[in-house]
Amino acid sequence: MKTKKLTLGCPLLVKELTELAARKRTYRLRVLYALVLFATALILFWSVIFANYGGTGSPLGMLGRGGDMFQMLVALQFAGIYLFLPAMTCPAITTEKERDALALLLLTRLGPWTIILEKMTSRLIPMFTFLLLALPLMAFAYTFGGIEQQQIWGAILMLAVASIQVAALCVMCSAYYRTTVGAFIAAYLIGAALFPVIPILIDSLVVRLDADIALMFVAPFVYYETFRSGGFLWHELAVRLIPFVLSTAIFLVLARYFLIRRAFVQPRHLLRSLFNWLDSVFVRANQNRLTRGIVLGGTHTSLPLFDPVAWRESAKKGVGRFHYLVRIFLALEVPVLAVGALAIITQGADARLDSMSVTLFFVWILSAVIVSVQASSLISGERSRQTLDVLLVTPISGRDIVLQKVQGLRRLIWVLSACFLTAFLFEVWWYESIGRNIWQGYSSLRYLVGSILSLVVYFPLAVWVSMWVGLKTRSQTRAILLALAGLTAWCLIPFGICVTFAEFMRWSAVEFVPLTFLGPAGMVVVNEVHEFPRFSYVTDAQILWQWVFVIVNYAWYGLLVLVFRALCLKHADRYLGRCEEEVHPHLPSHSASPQLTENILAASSAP
Amino acid sequence: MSVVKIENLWVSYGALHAVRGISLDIPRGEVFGFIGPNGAGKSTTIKVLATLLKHDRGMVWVNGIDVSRYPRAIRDAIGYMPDFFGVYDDLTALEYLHFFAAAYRLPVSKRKGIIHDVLELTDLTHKTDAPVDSLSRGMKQRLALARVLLHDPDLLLLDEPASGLDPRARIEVRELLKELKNMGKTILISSHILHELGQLCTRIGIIEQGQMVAQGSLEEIYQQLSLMRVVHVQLVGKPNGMLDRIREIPGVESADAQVDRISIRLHEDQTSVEDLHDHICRLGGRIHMYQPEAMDMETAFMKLTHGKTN
Repeated sequence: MKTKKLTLGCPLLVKELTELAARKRTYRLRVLYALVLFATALILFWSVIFANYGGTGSPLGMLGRGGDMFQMLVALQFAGIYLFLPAMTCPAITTEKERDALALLLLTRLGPWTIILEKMTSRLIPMFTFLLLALPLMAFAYTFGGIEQQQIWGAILMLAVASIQVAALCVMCSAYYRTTVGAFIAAYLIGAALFPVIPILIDSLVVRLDADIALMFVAPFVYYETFRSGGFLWHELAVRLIPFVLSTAIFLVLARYFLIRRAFVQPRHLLRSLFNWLDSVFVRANQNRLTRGIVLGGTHTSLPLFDPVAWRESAKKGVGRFHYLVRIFLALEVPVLAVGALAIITQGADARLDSMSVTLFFVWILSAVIVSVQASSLISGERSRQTLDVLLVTPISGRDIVLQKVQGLRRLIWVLSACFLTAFLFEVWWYESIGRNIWQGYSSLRYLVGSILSLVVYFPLAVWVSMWVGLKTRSQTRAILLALAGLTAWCLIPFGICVTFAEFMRWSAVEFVPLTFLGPAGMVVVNEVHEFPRFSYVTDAQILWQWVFVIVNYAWYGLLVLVFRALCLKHADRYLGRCEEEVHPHLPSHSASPQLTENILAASSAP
Repeated sequence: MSVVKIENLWVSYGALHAVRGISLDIPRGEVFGFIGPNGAGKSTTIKVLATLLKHDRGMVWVNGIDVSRYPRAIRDAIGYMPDFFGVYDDLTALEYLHFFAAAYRLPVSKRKGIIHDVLELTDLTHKTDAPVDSLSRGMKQRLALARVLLHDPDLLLLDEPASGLDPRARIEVRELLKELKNMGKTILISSHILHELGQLCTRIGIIEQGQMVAQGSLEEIYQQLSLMRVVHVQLVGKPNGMLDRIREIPGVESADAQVDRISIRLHEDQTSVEDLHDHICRLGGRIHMYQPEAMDMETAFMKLTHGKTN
């Protein structure tokens, strides 16, 4: 059957949509979105139905509850936009740069605005199809009644506004950065800074506004909340939409500006740039009367003897070198201890080190990102630079290659752990030295054991999960993104579930704290903010139970470390992309020469 | 005994059959040229031999060892150079070679000597401390050749070793390959630069759409294709009727008078180039210049392939 080609007069849009339609990933993503949406919505709907039916004992109690369901659904859709749209839009222009195709595009008659707008539209159309997936759920909620037409129109409008705003921000980042990873990280950082942080800062520091009102100016989700309050806001709409339209327009103008200016920007290694910057800071700091540029660990050249892959990772890569490691240590350690010391100085003998805990969370995030990026790049980086094949034809086994690669990260993990350890000890020393426990049930021993175990278990977990992702992924960019996205989702989703349940079931968030242990970050937070006593009454837990929580949590995640490690090592050859050795005790006897046979036997018997 | 033996090799990428029933046999010391358009299956076949790809059907042996069953043993016997540089930019040339010397588990006491030898062979002794990313493309390629020679493998698998090189670098690589040929290495080489393969290879295989369309020595392939040799002859004076008499010599397809010479198209299987010379002399021609054209591999290639996989 002959099919007619779509002729919209938008060649780039048509090309992008055709490409997206041809990719299996598009459909996988849509199925994933639908699964997550339907599963979460049904759980939430069920909780509403159960709460209302259970409360009244009559099915009539459920009537009019469609409004609540609808709100949940819209909230989920907003979450979908903020989670999926950046992943879909950030590669829009960076992939053209990575393929060296942007120059060709700029040479055509397509103007910069056309490129920007068609690229953005090509990402928005699939997103809108994602949003349409919620229609059956909406129909289900509608049957219960309690949804006003104003709410529906408001939701559609604000979802569209949020999508366009996020897409414009991501296109701007995509136009600015050379790589998708850079654009992706920047989109979230800028988004986080613009939407919650800056309005809150303005609210608290400049103009005393209600935080919700401040947020309303920039975040469509919060603005949408006003629709459900029942107030008629259509007459204000034109005014209220100005911030959204303005921010979107600014993003697009900047995208247009960066598209040409940064079309041929050279790739920059972010971590290397950070190290170079740290380098210059430390070199300047070292040039003083006291130290006079003293060098403690000079760089000395060595050659590999037995484990060449580990040698290269530790001797030739930035994160393996001694002086870089010292600098990483100081860069992380000094702020943490400074914040702790400042808290003691300002608050005196009763000081609680909450600010130090917050700083430690940031250091945890930074450390996890560094470790994850490094681990996921170990193999995928070799693939991207086309150096893996020549390594794979050497007699080093796949298992050894993986182990030696990971060995190169050990020093980095030791340094990061040393930084955390000193902070933990500082905290314990302070609470012990003030001579009393501020919180009922606080145990410095449990805190210390929990904290040390978090280093022992979570760093290897981040390494092996990211390594596994890197082994299974073809490109370095995708490996880094997948590893970071996977770990972030794993850490945040349990918190999200906890907050969502607490919000919609009108229960206390504390009751759901045990749910946070479904992600590795749960224990870090609970342990650091000494939450155990707060939720112990829910679980009827005594001190012993708190220990059980700690041990079971780390045993579970320790087991996962072993599982991911075993997966990586067992299938190393297959994941790396070469033939796996079958276990055959005897080699054929008709080898070419005795000398060669000796070599072969030696190679085969080598571990 | 053959160093490489392939029987009915089939390799697929999903639904695409990249290699479809290739068979070949490369004896020790032979330089086998693998020719074919892009996407014909050359690199895939080489990757199977390099243990980087699993085949679906058929048997592949290197030195009599089954590649699919004993890949680790095969890796000691081969030196593989992919069609890209595959060099670590963060190392110097010396560190790069030491890296692979350790990877191939060469005895520590012998490494220095071996590395010195391969650097000398590839004429890179003056670049030992240069970072790899500062080397020219030709030097990088020579460094890659030095790497594959470190463990003195029996078989060299060279995938497009001269691609992307300037003429000087190409000639340098060609000379190096000739040196390796003289050292008795068995080499499987794929290339697009056909006349260079003609100078280097003892046998060639032409592959298209995953199938071997011709295989043998150059002469055998020319004969198989009934390709004719063109011989340019300059005679002193212009003897009457000479052109017609030359045309009557057995094996001569045609003889055309040009401005300063006669171009003769000759079936070599009927009359050799030397016999043609004798015939002309016997006919009374005084030969001022006698120049048989080199057999043209490009013609053979074009005749055997149809560009279907291009």
